[in-house]
Amino acid sequence: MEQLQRPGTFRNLWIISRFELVRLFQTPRGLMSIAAFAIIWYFILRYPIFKASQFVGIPGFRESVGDMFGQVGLSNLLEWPVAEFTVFWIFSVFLFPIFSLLITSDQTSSDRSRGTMRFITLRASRDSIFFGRFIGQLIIQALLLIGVLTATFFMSVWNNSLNWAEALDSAMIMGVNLMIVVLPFTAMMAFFSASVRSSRLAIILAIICWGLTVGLIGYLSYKWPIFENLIYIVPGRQLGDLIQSNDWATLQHAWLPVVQTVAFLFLGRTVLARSSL
Amino acid sequence: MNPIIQCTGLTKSFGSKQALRGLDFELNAGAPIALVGPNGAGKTTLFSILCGYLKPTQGNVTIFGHQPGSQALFGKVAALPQDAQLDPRFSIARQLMFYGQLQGFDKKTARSEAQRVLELVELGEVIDQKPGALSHGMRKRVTIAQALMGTPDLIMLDEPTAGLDPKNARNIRQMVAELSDQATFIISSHNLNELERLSETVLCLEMGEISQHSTISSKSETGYLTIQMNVTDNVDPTPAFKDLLGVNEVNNSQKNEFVLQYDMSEGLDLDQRLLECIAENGWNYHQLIKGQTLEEQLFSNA
Repeated sequence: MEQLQRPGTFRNLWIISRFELVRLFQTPRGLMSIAAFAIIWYFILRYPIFKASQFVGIPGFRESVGDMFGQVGLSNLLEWPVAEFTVFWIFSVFLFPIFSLLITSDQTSSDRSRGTMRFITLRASRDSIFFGRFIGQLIIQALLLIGVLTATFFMSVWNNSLNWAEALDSAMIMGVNLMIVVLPFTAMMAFFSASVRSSRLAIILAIICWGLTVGLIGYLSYKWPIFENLIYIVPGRQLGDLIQSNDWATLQHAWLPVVQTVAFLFLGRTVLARSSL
Repeated sequence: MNPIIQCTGLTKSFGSKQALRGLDFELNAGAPIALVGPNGAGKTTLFSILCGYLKPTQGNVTIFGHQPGSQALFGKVAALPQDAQLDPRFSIARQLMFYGQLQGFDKKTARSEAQRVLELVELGEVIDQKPGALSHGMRKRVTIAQALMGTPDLIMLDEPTAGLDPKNARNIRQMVAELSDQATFIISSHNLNELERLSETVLCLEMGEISQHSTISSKSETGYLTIQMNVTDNVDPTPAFKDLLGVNEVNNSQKNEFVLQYDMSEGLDLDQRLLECIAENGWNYHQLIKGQTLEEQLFSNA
């Protein structure tokens, strides 16, 4: 029996992050999440994205997008050089936060409820566990994102092989942006997961709090416009602006999700550090 | 000798209920330490604080000079927490390897370490199974196994044999006895016979306070013999026992059980004279114990 390395915060954080991949790829629940994700994206890829070049130019599509995001939004959306990625962008900006909310809901809740966390805290700090799980969830989402970006890339090249450089460029810009988009949602679920003892309850609580916060801010800002700025605490606040941007200019909206992520991580870490196991 | 655990003024409240009331004690490394007390006495709360699962409301506790749950104690302090379960989604190997890696083992060594500790609890063959495939008792033994990974200096077991069949409970006791020269065990249990066989030091909690902190084999001028008789008629052996030289007092502690308190200087061969007395009177006895049972020591004045 040989203990090769001294346990440390960062080493353990990395071990815990990697173990999240095992949770995804080697458990029925994880595989079901992947299956659900794959089925939804199969239909999005097979129909709207594969046929993007055909209907991005049709008036009905333009009208719908114009109604949703305004004429500026429409013109910016159409500036993406590859039609397949234009459609991918519209779907992914709104779908990835929902996926994020659903698949990252059990970061610490079930382990605390079952008592498994007690075995782990004898070997790793609560910070290692909290941040390790958070990073693990980000890695999982990055893998899923790379999967759909790759599929979209091949689809666009299949439709028009001359587009490959623009498609690759779009894939990179969108990949970076979508990871930033899911950051606050993953951190928010880390916080709710640390606060309750079931993943389902974490999802319900997140949706209720999100809805109530939006409603309350709407009411307060209607009565007292000074409260309008409170909307910046809501994850996803920047999505409307993001979809109306293109190219690397999209990163100008990154500050808000990053700040929200830091705030949620601070809250979640505090809750877990103080909670009884 | 530096104490491994130091508690000063340790208090834990849950709302208005005080589970621990200003505990002050020190425990040294060595033979297994028994933590006893009735239900609700605060044993599990004390365990949870020592493991870092709960924070005390007041007071201070250190293990090897560090706060419970601090990084310096990882791999040094192990525990079987009450009611904690392994994740049913992963194989036992996967989970024990994960714990091993967190303790500093590489993947391969963690696997062999998992195999080693499972064999200690006689479950080496279930390494690739999931916890759901095991019986309650087997799952309990696997959770005991996780506490043995690596080379912990302090192992805290909360009710380790509760729910185990007699054979496996005996195996666990044997294993603790065998490993007790490598690590200090703290064992919480309601099974006083079990603790009596394993422990030298007893920490008795009652209503969140320490009612006794003693050493079972303490040297004293007073000795005890406990005899369990097979009395089928209405004979009372107390007067005959009292007449034996050196005997100060005889207590009928339970039905057919008598505790003889005697002067050590005069009662060196009292056990032999007691057996002669029983034979002369034509009585039968079931068991003779040198000293008092732990139960008798803890609760004779209750």
